[in-house]
Amino acid sequence: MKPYLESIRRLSRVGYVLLALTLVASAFISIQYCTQPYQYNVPSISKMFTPLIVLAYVSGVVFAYEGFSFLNKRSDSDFYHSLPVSRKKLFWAISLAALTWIAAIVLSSVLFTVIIFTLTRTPFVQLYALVAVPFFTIAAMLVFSACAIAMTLTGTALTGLGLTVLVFGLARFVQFSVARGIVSNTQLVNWLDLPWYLTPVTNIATGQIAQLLRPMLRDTLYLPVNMIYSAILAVLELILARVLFTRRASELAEHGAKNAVMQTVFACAAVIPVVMLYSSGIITQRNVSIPIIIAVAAGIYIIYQIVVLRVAKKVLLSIPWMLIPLAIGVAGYFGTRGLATNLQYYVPNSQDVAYVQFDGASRGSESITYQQYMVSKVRFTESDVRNYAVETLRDNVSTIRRSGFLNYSSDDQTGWTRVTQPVTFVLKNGSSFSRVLTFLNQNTLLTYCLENGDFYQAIRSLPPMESVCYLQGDDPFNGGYLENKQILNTYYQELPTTDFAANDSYRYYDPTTNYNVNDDQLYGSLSVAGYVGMTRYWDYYNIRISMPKTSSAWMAFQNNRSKGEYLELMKQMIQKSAALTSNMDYFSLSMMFYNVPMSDGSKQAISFYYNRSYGDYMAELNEQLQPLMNELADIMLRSTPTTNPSDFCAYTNWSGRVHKDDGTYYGEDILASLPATNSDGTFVSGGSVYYVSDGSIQYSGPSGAITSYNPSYRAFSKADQARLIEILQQWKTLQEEYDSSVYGSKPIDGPAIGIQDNMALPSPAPVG
Amino acid sequence: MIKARKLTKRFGEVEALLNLNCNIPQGCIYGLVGANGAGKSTFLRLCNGIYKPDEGHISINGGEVFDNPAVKEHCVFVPDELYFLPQSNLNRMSLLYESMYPRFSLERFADLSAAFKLDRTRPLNTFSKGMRRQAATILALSAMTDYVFFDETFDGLDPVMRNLVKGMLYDDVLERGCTAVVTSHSLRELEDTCDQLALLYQGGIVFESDVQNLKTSLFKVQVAFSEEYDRERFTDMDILSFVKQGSVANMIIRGDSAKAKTHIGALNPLLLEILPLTLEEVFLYEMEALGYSFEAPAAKGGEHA
Repeated sequence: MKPYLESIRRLSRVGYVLLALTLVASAFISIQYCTQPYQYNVPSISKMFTPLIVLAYVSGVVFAYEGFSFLNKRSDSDFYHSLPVSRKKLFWAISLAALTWIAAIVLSSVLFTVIIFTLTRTPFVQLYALVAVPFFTIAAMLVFSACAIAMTLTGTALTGLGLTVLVFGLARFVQFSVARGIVSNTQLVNWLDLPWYLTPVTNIATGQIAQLLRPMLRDTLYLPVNMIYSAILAVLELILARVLFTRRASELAEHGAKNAVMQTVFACAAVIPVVMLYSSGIITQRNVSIPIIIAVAAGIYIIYQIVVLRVAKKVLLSIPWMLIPLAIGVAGYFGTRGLATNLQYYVPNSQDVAYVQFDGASRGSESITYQQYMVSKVRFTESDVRNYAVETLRDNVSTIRRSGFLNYSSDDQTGWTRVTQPVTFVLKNGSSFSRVLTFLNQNTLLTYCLENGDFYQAIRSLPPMESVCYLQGDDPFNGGYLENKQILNTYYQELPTTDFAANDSYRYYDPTTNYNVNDDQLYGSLSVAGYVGMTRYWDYYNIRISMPKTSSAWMAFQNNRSKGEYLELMKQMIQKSAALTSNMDYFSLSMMFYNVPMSDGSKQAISFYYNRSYGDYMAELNEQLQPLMNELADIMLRSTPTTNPSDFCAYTNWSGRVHKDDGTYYGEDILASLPATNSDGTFVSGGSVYYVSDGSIQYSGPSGAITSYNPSYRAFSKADQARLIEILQQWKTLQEEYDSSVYGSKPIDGPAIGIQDNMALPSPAPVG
Repeated sequence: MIKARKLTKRFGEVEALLNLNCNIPQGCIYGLVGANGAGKSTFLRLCNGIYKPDEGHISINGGEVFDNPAVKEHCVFVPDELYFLPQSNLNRMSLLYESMYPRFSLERFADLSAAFKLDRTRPLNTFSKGMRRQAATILALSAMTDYVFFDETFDGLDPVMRNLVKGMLYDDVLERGCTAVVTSHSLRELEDTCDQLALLYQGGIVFESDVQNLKTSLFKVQVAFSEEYDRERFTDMDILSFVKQGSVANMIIRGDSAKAKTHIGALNPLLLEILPLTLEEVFLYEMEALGYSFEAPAAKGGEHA
């Protein structure tokens, strides 16, 4: 116990410094994150505990160097070896003291971060705090143990550091190189599909670096199995370091290595990464690269040996040993290619497959949808799905065999319905593997998947309401996220009453119209973000007319936030847009009409666009449209806000920069009346102004443009509805004529805009 | 008791110690003298379990030393090149020693610090070389071990402090039965301190003796006769060296000086004087007698017989 406490005391010098630095960094980063004006998702563990990623590497090296520093100086080494404590005990005392300090620093940092997030009411995944403490402690101990091994094998700080890098990263670099070679040499195997022995994140310390290079590995890095593996590895490395420590001769201090043989081993190890760069294909595998790689490898080897051996004869005698790393490079080259081929061309018999799982196309991304998370847990035991997956794998493999790559675009006509999905095959013998498959028909896949009841439930599932941390409409400037909670509540109530999946990616797709089958008029969308367990999700829900309560709530929300659409200004600018006078002037209008009666009796949403600019290339069409636009502006001025989703209504966005004849801007008075200042306090008269839906404004640039970004849903009187339909009909006719004459295109078949004689115009109805 | 048998330690191709044998009894001050590179420090490091012998054995109280805390807790080592924790002071170092040595006495540490007048709170890196040696000695003596090993420790102390350290060492030996092993390349440093002396030469102890015996075992005789004479005239005497200049001969004789005086006096010399030898001279003549070629300063310029 006493040597342990003494080691704690001895490491306190660097321990307190690291603790202070980590806490300051944690506070700085946490406060910076938590006080951001806009947040839309729960932070990842890496983002939340960024300082600990750095700490894991720094503390491992620093504590090892502080704890075992005496090994690098003869007098210090002699002193410690003269003490009446066994080498074994001395080693464990230092290592446990380092572990104590590292764990204390990590724990302090995590607690500090959690306190800041809690005080600022910033949502975070609570399990991350529990995971972070063991995760970063183990990661740091892996670095520590690698450093300890290196320091027991050498006797100088420099060689210790160099050997630390080799012990810590050489095996993983070789593994990463082979994995990279396999991924780049295959089309069906991604980083997340590699067998466990090639997965770069099983070692969580080197995995941190791997996930920086390949972000898709991020989520798998924090799996408990990786932590357990890394903890065992750290213990084994510490045991190895302990054995080396007890056998280490004190006189090794101040010497690079015990003898010339060890120096040669180190030199060979230093050369291996160089040859692996070529073997794995990180360096382009061309013939001209081979002599360059050999020359660089030989250069490193010989220079290293000259520096450490210093005797020409010894250096010359050691040169033949350089063939070993070169042979490893050759083996790596052929091994990587052979392994890649084996992995890629493996196709199981469908009767051997117990079940398949669909991990989701966006696996490994920053956050996935809740439905994907639920679907990823579904086991598809149905023969249709299993057979379709196996046949698709077989077809993908044969395509690659035939063309050398996954070549579907030129040899079939399924481009519109193809979908790429990672699939995990679990065989009846318990083994499993995953591949990224290209299914030729996503509708067929969906049909087969729907045979599974769990899948049907999964795609219609919504995350637990209490797990939602962020809620946002499709207004990017909207900072009042949770005010939409009422809309979300009605969405949760109404979705089960419809036939829609919660996520549009699980719907049938019509390749001819390029839309989902049986689509519906969309009023808006909600984006929700939160977490379940350790899985963060980010969902996007469309608000359709078939959810009348949700649609109405959405319309009410939008209308309430709309403060002054400046429709009079819009009218003036539309009228003046017929003759723009400045080469920077323009006017742009985008309208969405809902419940437009069609000739087949249906009601559709129709988009309407009108764009004018100085030197207008569509001047002929726009001049014909101009009278309609003037009339449309008048109708808009007479319109009234509505929250009835069944109404024939419009949602209008416009922007423009239009000069009056006297050279002043339209809307200049509005600009002047607003608190138009830049962030630095300077006045922005004449700058671009964005009116945003919460009533505030945003500016960008001094172009004088005004963008209305706060529309409401507006309904029309009966007479105006009738006239609007005529305007839309005329607009469509003019547009089709223009497209025909300019582009030679033909009108798309479908119902025409307009009401049949026996149909009545829709009238406002109460929302129920 | 420290026992070394065929103790061998190599550093690469260099044999620092080769088949060294020695017995260092308990409760004595044992001096090891030898030139630079003779193997003194290596021997002390082997005694303290710092090095593992390549061949042979070294044991203390019957136990092997290397990586054996049960034995090492009875030993403390003050090396030639001292170690202190970075930015530490004496108090901090006392905590280190206290955590490692089970019998470390904080009371003694305080007493010794006061005796040496060292500020225990002052950073050790601000101490002079001599003060650092004093600090190391204080810490070692406070460990209250049965064996204390000093590697050229006295060489860096001023005479006052040297005497103070020596006094403390004597006290430890007398009161606690402690054994001290002291190395030096200067015999004069050890002459008045040690009970036993050994000479290390090229990795082996070539000579070992009790200091008191050593001092009295050899003596110098200056003699002159009126007639011509040579070494053969002094039969029955163990003459280690005979140098004659003119009619005066200088002899180094082993044995009883009184008997030698009587014996030579019976030969009617013109001059007969018995002179004591310094320890250094005794060593040199003994070594010469053993066949090691050292050039004794006193014998320079004479006619060797």
